Amino acid sequence: MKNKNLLAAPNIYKKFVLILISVILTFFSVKTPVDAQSALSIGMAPPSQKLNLQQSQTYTGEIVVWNLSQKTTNYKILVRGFRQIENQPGTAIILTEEEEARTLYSASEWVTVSKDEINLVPNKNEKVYYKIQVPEDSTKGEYLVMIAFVSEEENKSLGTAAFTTLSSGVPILIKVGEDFVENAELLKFETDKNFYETPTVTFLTRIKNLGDTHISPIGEIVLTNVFNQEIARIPFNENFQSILRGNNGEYSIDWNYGSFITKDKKLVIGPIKASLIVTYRNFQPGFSPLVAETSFWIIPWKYILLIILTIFTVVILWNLRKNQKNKPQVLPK
Amino acid sequence: MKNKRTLIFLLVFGFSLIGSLFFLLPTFKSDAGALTAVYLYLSRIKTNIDGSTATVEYVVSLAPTQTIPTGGTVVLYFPDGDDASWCRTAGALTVAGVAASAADMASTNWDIDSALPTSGTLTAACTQGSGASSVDTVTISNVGALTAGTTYGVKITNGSTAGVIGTDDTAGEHEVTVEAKNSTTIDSSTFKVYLIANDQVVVSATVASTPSVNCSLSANTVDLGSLYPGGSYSTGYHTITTSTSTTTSGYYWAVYGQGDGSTDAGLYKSSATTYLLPSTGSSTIDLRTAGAEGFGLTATDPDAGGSANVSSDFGSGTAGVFGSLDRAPSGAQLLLYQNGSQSSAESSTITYGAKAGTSAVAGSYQETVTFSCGGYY
Repeated sequence: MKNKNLLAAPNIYKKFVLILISVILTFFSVKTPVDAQSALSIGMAPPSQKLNLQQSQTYTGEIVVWNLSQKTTNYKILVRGFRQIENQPGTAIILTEEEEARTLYSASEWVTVSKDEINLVPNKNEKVYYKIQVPEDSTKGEYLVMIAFVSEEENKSLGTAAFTTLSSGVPILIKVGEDFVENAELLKFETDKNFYETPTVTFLTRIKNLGDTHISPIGEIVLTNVFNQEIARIPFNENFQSILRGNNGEYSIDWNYGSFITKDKKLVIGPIKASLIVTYRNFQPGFSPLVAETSFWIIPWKYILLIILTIFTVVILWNLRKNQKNKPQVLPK
Repeated sequence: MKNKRTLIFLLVFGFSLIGSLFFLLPTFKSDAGALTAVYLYLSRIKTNIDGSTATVEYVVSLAPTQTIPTGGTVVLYFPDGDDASWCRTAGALTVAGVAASAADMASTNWDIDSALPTSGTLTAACTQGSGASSVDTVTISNVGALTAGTTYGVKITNGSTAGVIGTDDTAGEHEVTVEAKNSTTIDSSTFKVYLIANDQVVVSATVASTPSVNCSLSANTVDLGSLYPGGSYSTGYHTITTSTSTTTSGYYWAVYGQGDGSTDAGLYKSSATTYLLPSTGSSTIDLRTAGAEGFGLTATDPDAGGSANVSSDFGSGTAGVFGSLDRAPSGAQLLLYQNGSQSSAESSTITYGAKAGTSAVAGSYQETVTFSCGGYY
């Protein structure tokens, strides 16, 4: 038995060595994916420009860009028109070449940029100069152009992968002429729910721009309680996000009061009326406000239920005690 | 003839007398040498430093060529025409030996070896010149023994009460003599210092109140590993980070894919046989279900409960449910946005999800996702 074990031992060692060699060979023979992973970063100032120019006027400006990553990155500079992203006011995405060919209000032909691409070294400001030459025969209205920076990175991977590209740009809104048509329509003003347990409400507003220039509607939402007392004034679009001509703008405004009673002792419970008043014109804005009303309920049902249960319990206990007192005493024998 | 004899007598007597005086009177012996490695470093080289509205420091370096006994002095002599310019107010100055100066040249003799030694306490005083042949001087006293070949340094500044030093009011060269001596042992050297009208450059910059926005992606490649036809979904991650100046109205991120370049966004196998794991338009894609196939992404809220918002399609919060991408800038969808500035950088984690259906062709699939970032206008 002893000898058998001794003879068996070398076989175990052989097997172990063979397994080890095959593991090492497998390790070196497998192709590992080559991922050249690096960060991308771009910062710029200003993030947008709004200009008032006249026919034949020339305007020159500059954009300062920088790279906060640790790697030098080349950015391609594109000059094209832009549009709003979905219905979000104040956003911009560059047009495709096909869209650019179709749009009527792109000012990309008016703009020349000092360079077509830029190599951004880490942590160094670079300036890109641009010139806008408004044509003599341009018609009155607002024209749009974006100077966009799109990263050009060598993405290498042998396997299945998602590559990322970073893009950012400066949308420029150019008003040519004077006396613009400023017109808008309020399409929606409502809350995201009808009933709330706490004063945490989201107001959803949609405005359509019907004019020939962008608008930046601003205003207030005034809340009044069941006693017609004013309980809050909520600023509407305090960041002046703009809606481009022919576009809708969705504004989502959150109101989180955090209390059922205001500082001047007004109740924030029950039916609440919300009145929206918005102005959007630059000239005599008060003559064309957009107004709307909606209502919602704030019912802290858990608190109400707790109070009812407490009252109910107290009443029962009170009655029990009363009955016990009224019960005739049994005299000891 | 008598006059001639008298003249000769007087000449002989006179020469004899002069000769006798040379032998009888005490002798004067001077051991004079040149200082080496001598310079005067001025902390300001602007003309007309008056010592009150602006001050100047002198650093003197000197290396004697002979040993100068202890108890000597070091004296600075300024040009005759610069009276009361270098010594603005006569009196005691502050003095200290220094072992280094800004003008040192390492590994040469022009590198101060040692602070000027003292015999007691170093003192310094300046005197003003007045008129011709009278110059401004700075005298350093109680100097210890100076060894030949050693470079010594000493710094002179305004005195605590009286003495004030300055610079001359004329730009250009000014000849200065430095003399180290003790009795008859004297080493000296004369050189020039140069004054200019203005020695300071005002560098100004303005921190602009112009709005700005910073956008970053933590990675440009996300490996999704191996997908198995009919298997479960794979994920990969990176972050997007945003910050703005306080004057910016807010920021937004939009996203779109490239896909096969014509029909849809999604992971695409561009080599034969081509195949697309699609990401179709503005909705969500549920990769948990059997037979599902596709590609999408989600984003986390960078400030849970704060003012940043993730678009509903990309923030379902359900594992395995991803927001679908659309193709090209025309299909850009809002991913993340915030009303209001964000002065400290905040990050959102982007999670990609991909799943291959049973009919998917084996090979490498890739998609280029463009993240477009900006500040509100």
